[in-house]
Amino acid sequence: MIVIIFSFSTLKAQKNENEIQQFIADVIEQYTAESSETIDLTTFYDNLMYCAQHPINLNQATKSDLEKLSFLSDTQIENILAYLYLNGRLNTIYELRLIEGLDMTDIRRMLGFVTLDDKVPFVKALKLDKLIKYGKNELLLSGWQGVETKQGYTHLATSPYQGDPMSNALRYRFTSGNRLLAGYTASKDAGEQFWGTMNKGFDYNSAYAQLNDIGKIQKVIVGDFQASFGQGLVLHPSFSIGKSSYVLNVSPRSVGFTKHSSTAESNYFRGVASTAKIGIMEMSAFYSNRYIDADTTDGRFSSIYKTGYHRTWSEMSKKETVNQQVVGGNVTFNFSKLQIGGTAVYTLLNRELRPDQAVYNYFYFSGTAQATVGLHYRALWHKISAFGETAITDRAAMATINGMSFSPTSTVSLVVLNRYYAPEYDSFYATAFSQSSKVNDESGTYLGVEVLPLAKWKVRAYADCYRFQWPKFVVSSPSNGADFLFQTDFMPDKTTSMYWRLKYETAMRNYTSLSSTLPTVLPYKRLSLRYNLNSSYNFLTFKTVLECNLVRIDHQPVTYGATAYQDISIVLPQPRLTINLRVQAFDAINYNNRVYAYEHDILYAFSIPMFYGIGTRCFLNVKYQLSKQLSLWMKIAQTCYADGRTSMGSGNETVMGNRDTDVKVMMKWAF
Amino acid sequence: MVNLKLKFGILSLLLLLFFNLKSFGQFSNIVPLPTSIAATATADDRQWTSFNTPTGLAYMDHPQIGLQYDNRFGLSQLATKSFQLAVPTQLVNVGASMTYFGYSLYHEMAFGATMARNFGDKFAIGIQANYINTYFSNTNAHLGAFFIQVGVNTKLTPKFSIAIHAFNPTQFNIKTEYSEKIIPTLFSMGTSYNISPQCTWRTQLDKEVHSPYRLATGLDYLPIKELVIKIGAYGSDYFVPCFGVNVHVTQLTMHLNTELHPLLGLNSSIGLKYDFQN
Repeated sequence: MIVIIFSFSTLKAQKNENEIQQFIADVIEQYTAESSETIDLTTFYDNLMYCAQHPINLNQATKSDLEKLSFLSDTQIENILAYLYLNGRLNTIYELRLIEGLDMTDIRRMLGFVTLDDKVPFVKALKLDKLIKYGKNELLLSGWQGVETKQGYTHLATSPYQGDPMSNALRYRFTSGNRLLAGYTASKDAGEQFWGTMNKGFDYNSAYAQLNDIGKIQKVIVGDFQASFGQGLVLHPSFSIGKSSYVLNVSPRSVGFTKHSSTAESNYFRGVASTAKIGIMEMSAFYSNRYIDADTTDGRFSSIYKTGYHRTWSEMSKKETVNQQVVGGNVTFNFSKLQIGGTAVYTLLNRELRPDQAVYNYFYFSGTAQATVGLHYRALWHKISAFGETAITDRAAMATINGMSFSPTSTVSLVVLNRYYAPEYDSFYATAFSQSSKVNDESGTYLGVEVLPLAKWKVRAYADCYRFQWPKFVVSSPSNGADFLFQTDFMPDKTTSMYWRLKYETAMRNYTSLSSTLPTVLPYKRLSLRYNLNSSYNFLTFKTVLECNLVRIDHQPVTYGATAYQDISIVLPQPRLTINLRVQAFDAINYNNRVYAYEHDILYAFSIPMFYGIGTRCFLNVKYQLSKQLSLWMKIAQTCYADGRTSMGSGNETVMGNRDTDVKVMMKWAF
Repeated sequence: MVNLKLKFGILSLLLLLFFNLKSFGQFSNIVPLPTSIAATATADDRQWTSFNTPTGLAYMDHPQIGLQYDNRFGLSQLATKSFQLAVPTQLVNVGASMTYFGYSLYHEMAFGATMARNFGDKFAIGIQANYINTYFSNTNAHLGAFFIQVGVNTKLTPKFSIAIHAFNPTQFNIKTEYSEKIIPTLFSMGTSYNISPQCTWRTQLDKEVHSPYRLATGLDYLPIKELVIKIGAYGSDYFVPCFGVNVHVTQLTMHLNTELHPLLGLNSSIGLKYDFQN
């Protein structure tokens, strides 16, 4: 502790890296606040880290370069490009202050990812043998395990886990500038067998090789990859920017093909993908052939099994049971103020998908083949930017999303977005702006606004009203709802920032009581308030968060949830040590009042645990860089409940007692 | 017989104290009542009471020694006696403390070692490591446990600060073969606003994980340099008004706090602190 408190020496280089890491964590937290889904953020993290390691030269930046900075809105990107066009080169980074729509918060965020240094090496065309010779290798080994024994590993389990309780992963990466990238990822989840009758080696294996800038061919990927085009109605991976406190960022960036390097075992393609650029035209095409997990019966299956867990014989029987072939492509024309393109994808399954009969999934896709095509556009006229996509499936089900963003003055930016997804629209790889997790049966309008009323202050708000014309999984009737967010940011000085966030949500939910045999659909209202304070001093960064929520279902009494936590981050230059510490208390009466909190974690682990009940959570996350080549991570986290519970979880995941402890370790070797 | 009745009464009151924390808001008897009025110590940067937020120590400029006696409901058997020592250094302020609660048949002792530092008057951080020792009559044994407390105080402006304090955040308890003594786990958030150089207003929200929330507020007023008048109140299950004074005479400070519990009566606390420099 004494070492921690008293080290005072230069630490700029390491601090920069950690500031970027901290910023990436902030962005991820903003996007995933109150998220209830497990999302794979590896690609998102990789893209930002790549920008941090290879900063964008603002004086040479193209639109697609700036689009890599996902926290910038379309209007901000246009304003930067317009400023450069009208005024020429930026001479100092402080000139960013003169660009409309950028406040100090935005500029601070950008600093880690941009440069004005023309000496940033430009990777010239090299021969393949040189690319391999001068490439960098990275090997990551990680393992994590719960301290308390889960029921699945004991004789009490009816269907016990076949493997040991340790999860581990191996990642190897080779990069040669941005020209050649290759990697191999393997993992084993807790409970999965590593070696035995069930498995021989890792349960999940993935590899890719990517070559960029080969004449007119921009990109070729062989192996595992993801695809993202347009607004995501046809093709987009699972993590999509939706409603968040980045109120203007509602339109996903069309990044084309990206390598799949995470341990997520779904939402990727396996095959070959390529993009070529001929003049103003960009052409992309891919073919994928892989086996996916499903519970097959009589040659059919009712749903795709996406968890990736193969711990019991029952789970193992679902592994890679259905062959999925996908072929698709995209053509996009890029004019100076207009981008227009089309995407098509065709999927062929070797077994019939037939969802279980239920009212809510009446319109879900069933069959063995599906085709979806879509047209997308993005246009700029004066200060107005319009964007959208319209898609249709081979069953004539349509989905359309259209939006517009504009800045009437330098301090005000607005975005409006309308979407309509037909109940029959159910495309395999669609992830677009929506209230529900599935792009299906939804219509709604979103309005977002960002105002810079005074220096150091920013106000942002959104309103979103939506309607489902068919019952949903937890709503047994047509329903509607609305979401509202109001956030005020204040940055009194360079080292302190804070925000107040108010979110109000109204929706319809099923409610089951003893007096009724059928669920009743009742209005559900939730109000949440959050205060977040960040401050830093030399090698210390503090973060204080207070959050509470109130939930009311129809005329029942209001229930509450609250959490408070204090983060302390310490970055020491010698030894090269980074420590993140948190103490957190939570008090949420029931599941509806649950709270989420993003946590620092080991590299490539993104932890956003959910809490309800009464209890505390503490974690210690340590990164130690032994040398330029070798880095170590360790995290220990414990949740302790104080609401009298004697067990946690259910089924094989049941843990006796009121404590849940996790230990994670990781090693990175760069050579 | 009188002695037996007295012991029975004390034991009954102890049971009430130990098994109905709600009656006492958030605090364990082993923890000395803070010098800050209405127990609004979390954001208080002018005084430190050991076993309360350790960040209070970060703001001290001079070595200090202090003694305190807390009296509950006029019963000496329910008194808490504590001692604290603070030694500021250039790098970090360190403190040591000891507290004792109970009487011959039942008692608890706790020891604390504190480290705190003020970072450029921007924010302060403090950590205290504690060891508590309790006598269990059913096993005729003394058992103990270690736990920590952490505090952070951030000055958003020269006049306004916000602070957080976590007491035993890891929920460590003392376990015996037959029972478990719960060491409270308390999270506090407080604010402090210097209305003027003579007047400071503090608020505090506490949550002990087994107890209801406690909301407290207090005002310190310095009519003259030698005197601080303190008025406050807190509410949990009951509304409890509080009143106190601090008297400074050269290097000696005497503080007196009182609070009137509507059900159980008057609590009072008196302490003496001596600064080794003016």
